[in-house]
Amino acid sequence: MRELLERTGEELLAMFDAGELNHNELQQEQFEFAQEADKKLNAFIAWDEVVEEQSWALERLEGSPKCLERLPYAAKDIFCTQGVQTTAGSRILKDYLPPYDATCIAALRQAKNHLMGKTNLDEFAMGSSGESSAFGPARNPWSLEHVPGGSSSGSAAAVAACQAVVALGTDTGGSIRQPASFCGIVGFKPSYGLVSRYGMIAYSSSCDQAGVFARGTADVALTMNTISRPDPLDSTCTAVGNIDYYAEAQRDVHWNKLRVGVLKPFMDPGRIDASVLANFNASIDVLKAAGVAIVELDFPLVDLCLPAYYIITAAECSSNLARYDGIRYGSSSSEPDLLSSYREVRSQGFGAEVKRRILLGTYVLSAGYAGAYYDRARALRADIRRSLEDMFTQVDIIATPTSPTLPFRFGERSTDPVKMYLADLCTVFVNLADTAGINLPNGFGVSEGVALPTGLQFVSAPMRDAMLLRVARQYEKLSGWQYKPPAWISQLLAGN
Amino acid sequence: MEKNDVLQLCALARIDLTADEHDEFARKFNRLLDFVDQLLAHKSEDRPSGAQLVERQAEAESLQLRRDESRPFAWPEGTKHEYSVRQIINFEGDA
Repeated sequence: MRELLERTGEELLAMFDAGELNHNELQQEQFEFAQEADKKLNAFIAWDEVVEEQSWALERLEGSPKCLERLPYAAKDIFCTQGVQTTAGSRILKDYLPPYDATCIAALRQAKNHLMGKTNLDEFAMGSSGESSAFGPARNPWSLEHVPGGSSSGSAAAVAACQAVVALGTDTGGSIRQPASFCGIVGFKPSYGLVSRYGMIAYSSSCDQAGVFARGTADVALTMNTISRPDPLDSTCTAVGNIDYYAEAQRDVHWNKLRVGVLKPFMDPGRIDASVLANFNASIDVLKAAGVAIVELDFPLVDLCLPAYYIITAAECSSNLARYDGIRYGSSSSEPDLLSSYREVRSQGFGAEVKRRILLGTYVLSAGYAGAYYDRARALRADIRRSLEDMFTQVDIIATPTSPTLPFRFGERSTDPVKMYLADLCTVFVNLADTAGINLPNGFGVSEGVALPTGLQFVSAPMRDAMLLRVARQYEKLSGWQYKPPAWISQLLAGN
Repeated sequence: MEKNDVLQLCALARIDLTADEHDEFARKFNRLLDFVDQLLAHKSEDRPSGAQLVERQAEAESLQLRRDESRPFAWPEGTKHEYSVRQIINFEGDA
């Protein structure tokens, strides 16, 4: 039974339909294996221990698309889950039990998927390594001395280690795609608005987007069919709900009609590590051999994307995190006056990285500086959008490496915040332009004798997500990629 | 950044830093400011500022803009408000 945990959701659904697999047995086995593997990985913060016999009958409307249903999944601990601890990786929300489900969670629950637990993350999704979690960092299944990426560190590690079939994450500047690249799995960030943000703890409301980790693009498409729905509880949700992402992902691509853009700055060995670049060039060669037209594109704003991103997100986080004051959320204080109470709760509850970003946000929004920093960053964001709109008149898809480097060791970048921020060099422009991006594993690079995964990022124009998933799925077939877990996970699955 | 400036920021954000945290914070924060200062050299094509942008877009696309003045909205007399929150999410969009 355990060896089935390596399979994709698409394969397991086929086994359900053929009557070859029992849902309850799968759920129980998955739960026990996840707990066993987690002794080394620390991918989970909380477990939903309720594994009970239930009716698996689903009411399907005629013609409804194939969805992710009746499967065990994990969710980043930033989605509110009724009655299950939701901490956002912070001491300030320790023991918080939300009274409601996030819309994504409600949709997955409605389709009888079983939430096994909540996964580890950088505190309030602020980080690129998982190291800023108040609950200790999650570890990369490919090498326990290396970071799994962030901020959705636990979700990426859990899917890579076969602890869950799929996992939900959030992506504000690359927090799904970068950890997916570091853990060698598929990570999809939909266009802004395509998945409801209701019940997702906010960091930067204009950039935050829920998305999916999986061991294949078909599972991403199945999950999108379940969670991408119109939601009256999120006014920024523009999902139409009648797109069948799974059916789209099965359609062939006429490679000789596809135009793929590569951004010149991300072909520069001064910015991108040699092993990452070598694998990226090999992926482009696969596309060229299939007949794809490769177009080289300039992106002169590339070096300004990160500063603009950190100004906008810091400004929004200083506002969003003002609510954590020990009154409505967080532990309470014994201080007699209100202001001292706020300061005590916030000073003890937030970690160093969160404090730094709140203070940076307060600084760039303060009188006299807002014009110099915040307004300028917003204007630059508009320029980046325009620049991408121009690019998408010339190409259908943009391809880049997902991360400029291989996964790094714990502690290697924590002394210099800017060095850490550079991990998002290739991903933040996607969030600033509200477009969609997906990481596809494209090989391994060797660092100090350790083989570590690399990733290829495909980016589409906003709301062309169905086309992006189709190209990604067909590229998987073209390149012959299929997920194989790390050796120690395979041994654990085999019972050795 | 001067110590007093940091203290003022902390007061605005309702956060206290210990003496150790303060030194580390000042060093890392200055590094962050140098990083975001790169932006100051950039001249944008335009600045988004609400209505001005809409007018510019309308001008470019030869759209007609409304010229009437806005009036505050008033509910019709006798309107009763129902503010209870529905507990069931209706995915069809008509909750």
